[in-house]
Amino acid sequence: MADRQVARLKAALADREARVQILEARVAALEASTSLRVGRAVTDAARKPGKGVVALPRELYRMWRHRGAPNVITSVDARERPMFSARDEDRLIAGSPAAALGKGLIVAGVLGPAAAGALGEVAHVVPLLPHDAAMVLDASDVDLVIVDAAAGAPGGPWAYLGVPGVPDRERALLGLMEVARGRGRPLVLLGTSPGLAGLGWDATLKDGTSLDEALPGLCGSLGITATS
Amino acid sequence: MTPKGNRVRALVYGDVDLNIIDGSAIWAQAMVQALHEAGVEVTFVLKAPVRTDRLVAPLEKLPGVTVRRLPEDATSSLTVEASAQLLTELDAAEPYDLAVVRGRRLAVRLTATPLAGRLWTYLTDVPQNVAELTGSLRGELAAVAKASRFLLCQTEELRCFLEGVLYKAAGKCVLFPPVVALPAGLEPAGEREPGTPLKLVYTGKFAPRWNTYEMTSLPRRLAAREVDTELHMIGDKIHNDRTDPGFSRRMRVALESTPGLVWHGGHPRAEAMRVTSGCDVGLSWRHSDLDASLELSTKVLEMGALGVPVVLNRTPMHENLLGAGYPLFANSEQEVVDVLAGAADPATYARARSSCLEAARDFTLEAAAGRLKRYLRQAFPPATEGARARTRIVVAGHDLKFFTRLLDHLRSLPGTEVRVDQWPALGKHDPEVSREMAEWADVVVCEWCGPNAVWYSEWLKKNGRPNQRLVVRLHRFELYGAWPGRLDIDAIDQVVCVSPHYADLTRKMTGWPAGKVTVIPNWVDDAQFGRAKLPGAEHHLGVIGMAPWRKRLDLAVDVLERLRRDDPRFTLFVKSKLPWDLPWIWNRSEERASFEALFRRIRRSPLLASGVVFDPAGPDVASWLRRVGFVLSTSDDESFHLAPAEGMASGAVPALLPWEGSDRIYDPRWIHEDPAAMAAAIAATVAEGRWEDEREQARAEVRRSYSLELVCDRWAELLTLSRDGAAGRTPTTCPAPAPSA
Repeated sequence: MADRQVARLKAALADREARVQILEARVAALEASTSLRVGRAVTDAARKPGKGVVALPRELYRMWRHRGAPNVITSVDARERPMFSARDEDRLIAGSPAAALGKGLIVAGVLGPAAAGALGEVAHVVPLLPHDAAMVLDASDVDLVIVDAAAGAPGGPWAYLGVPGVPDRERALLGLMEVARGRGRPLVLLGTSPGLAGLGWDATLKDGTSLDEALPGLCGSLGITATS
Repeated sequence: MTPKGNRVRALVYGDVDLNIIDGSAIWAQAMVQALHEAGVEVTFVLKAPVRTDRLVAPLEKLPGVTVRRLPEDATSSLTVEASAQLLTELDAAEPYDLAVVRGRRLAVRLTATPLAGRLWTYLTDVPQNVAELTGSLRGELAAVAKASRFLLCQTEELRCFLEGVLYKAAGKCVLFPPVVALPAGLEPAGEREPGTPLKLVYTGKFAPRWNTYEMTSLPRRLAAREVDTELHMIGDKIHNDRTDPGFSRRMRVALESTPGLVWHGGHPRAEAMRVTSGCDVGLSWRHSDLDASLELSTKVLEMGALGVPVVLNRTPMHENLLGAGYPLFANSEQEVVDVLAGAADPATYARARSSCLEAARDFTLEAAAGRLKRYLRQAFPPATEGARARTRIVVAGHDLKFFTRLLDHLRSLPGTEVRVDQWPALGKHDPEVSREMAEWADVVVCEWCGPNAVWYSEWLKKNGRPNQRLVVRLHRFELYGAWPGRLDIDAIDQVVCVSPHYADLTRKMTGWPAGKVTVIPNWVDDAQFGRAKLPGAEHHLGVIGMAPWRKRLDLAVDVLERLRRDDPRFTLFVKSKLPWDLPWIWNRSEERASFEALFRRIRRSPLLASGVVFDPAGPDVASWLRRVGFVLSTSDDESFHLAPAEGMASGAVPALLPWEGSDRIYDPRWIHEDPAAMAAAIAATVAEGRWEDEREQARAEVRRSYSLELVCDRWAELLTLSRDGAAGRTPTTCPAPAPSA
């Protein structure tokens, strides 16, 4: 998670630096512009009535002579603009490929096979794996996140989630929970497992709950308005 | 024996009061007794003034054990600061070889004393999960891990947790489970008499999460099932719970007035155990919040040792202790009633009793002494027979990751002195330092046959003494470099390869005399890797290290794909750095293209997308392997490939493709012609129920051939024997062990 934050901060820093460069170029271009230079020449002449007024026509003539020369500094603006630079907020206007599928609700899940099957009937499911959960969640616009205790059963990618003495899975889960909380997305625990109960869930569903039936009520209680 | 050849001296301090006979006091007493049993001279420092010497007196009678009491006029116990100061002073007066300490705060304090490096730390008050591990706690624990020779862990779960969250702890964590000692005169109870009421017993504090109030309803509920029951409850501490203010009153009323319940009040441990031994079934059923605990209840073990089977929650730790088929697991009140009703059946009862008795045998004083002996042998290995009285060894190289444990071993040997000439890079060093080292050494070991070997061979040839020796360890990487060609083989006493195939290849490519090239295989710390598998591991494949491309993760994915066509439970766990973490790989376009294509294949395949998990690289391989049932080696070529050997030591079944020389390191039975054959063999092993059997064979094989102790002994022989003895050694007298020998 820390790596992700560092990456995001680096991206933000790069973006800010690019903007500073652009602004500096614009200031330089403005300073080089004929309008500004004419204005400066006139105000300088006004400040120094004797010598300044004498020099003014010569200065204006020089500007007139170079009026057609290209403004090199202004062109930097276009040249140095980065090809791609995304800020955290840019995701607010980004399209969601999952939304286009027309199932309304988008649910990210750490799911066992049964829960994944049931949920797939009524929602678009974004499956999360231990190595990509936080990253996928960070890049997806989901309505809620469901963690199925049964996903910790052997024979699946989240095997041993919730089992004492398997901290890598717990760390992956905490990472995705942090992203979900940061986005204000509800976290729901389905079923029970020794290591999962006390992690601060927004809602819990009993073991054996049929997700396809329970989802509308769950969304209602969590204030999720997306409809299928 | 210590490196100086003396008896090992240990300082023991538990942050415990031995006047109160509880689990921690018993631990301290048992630790002293077990160290004494293991032949160690012990100084046991007490924390509190002695008011009752029931635990202390037996220790004072042991020869070689000194109990250091507080002054008679002392009125209070030692603070952490005072105890740290006292321990440091005692050590300064007469240095100890090790210091066993219990308690996190004291251990943290001792990290800043000269005892650092000699601590054998028993951590008790540690977080039970990652969420509880704050940054400052992590820092404290990391410091303790760094300063400790061993971290003594009560359970496998705690060991794996520490290794997973503190990489400094990996390799230092060893098991030291609770010690159960029955009070004098108390023996395991006999079989239960049929036709008598079922006597249940609970001993301990009364608290909501210990389900003590719910237990009081058991006589009534079992009566409804026509099971005549008595419930005996021992203890007088009724918890005042902030979240349940009425608990204390409710619990007391239940204790005082429930029909069928006998409240014995508080009793000393021995008396509580005596009452327990007169009962039939112990109760240790707790709230599910406690199922994630990394600690084991000593009371469960004590009841087991008394022959009183226990009702307890089904958790992975308890399943590991008693077996998944133990009949008295219960996770709800209804399940407790059901299993107790079932326990009325004599056969069920006998099975439960036998499982508990059997489990308790691992927690005796003798078992604890046996464990300590192993750790002492590791920390203070005996001298090699025929070794010179004194050997000064220099180990020179830029990357000692394949030599670390050997270095530890050499440093611990009596009569050896070891210095390291750490080269900052393959071809960079301080010639002045190297020259000084070369002058000092009796034996120089060059780890990697690179510029270090060239420099030392040239220097020793010009300036060396006649009795100085140079040993070079050659891996696969250097064989294809220019350095072997620049070596003057006459200046080298022995070139050590890790496999017979590479030894042959070295002789062939260099033309060096056959006798100069010998084989000492890579080592596997079989004791560290030998841990209980997690349930369901037989469907999990493991790959350790996927880059560079010649490791051929794609072939492992082929195997997985075939397996998942028939059984989607098969999952591949890859513990590795990612290729883009290694710039020298990721900057090569052909490597990048291959990996990109593979990852795209995995992402786009419905069969593979959720079947491959990339776990971060780290030193916690032993704990990670608990989840792996088959370790794959699908490389194009390897000199040894440690991963299958580590997998075998962990109790996984190895599965290799036939890279050149693989059959001279691993038994051909583990080598498969192609991914299809490998997949078929894995599927058949699981389907035909042969996995347990095969993994036991694999484990035995690796112990025979590549155990750390065995390989350390070979290195010790090579480096510490006199020149005459060493000169007589040839590949035929120091052969690589045959895999199935």
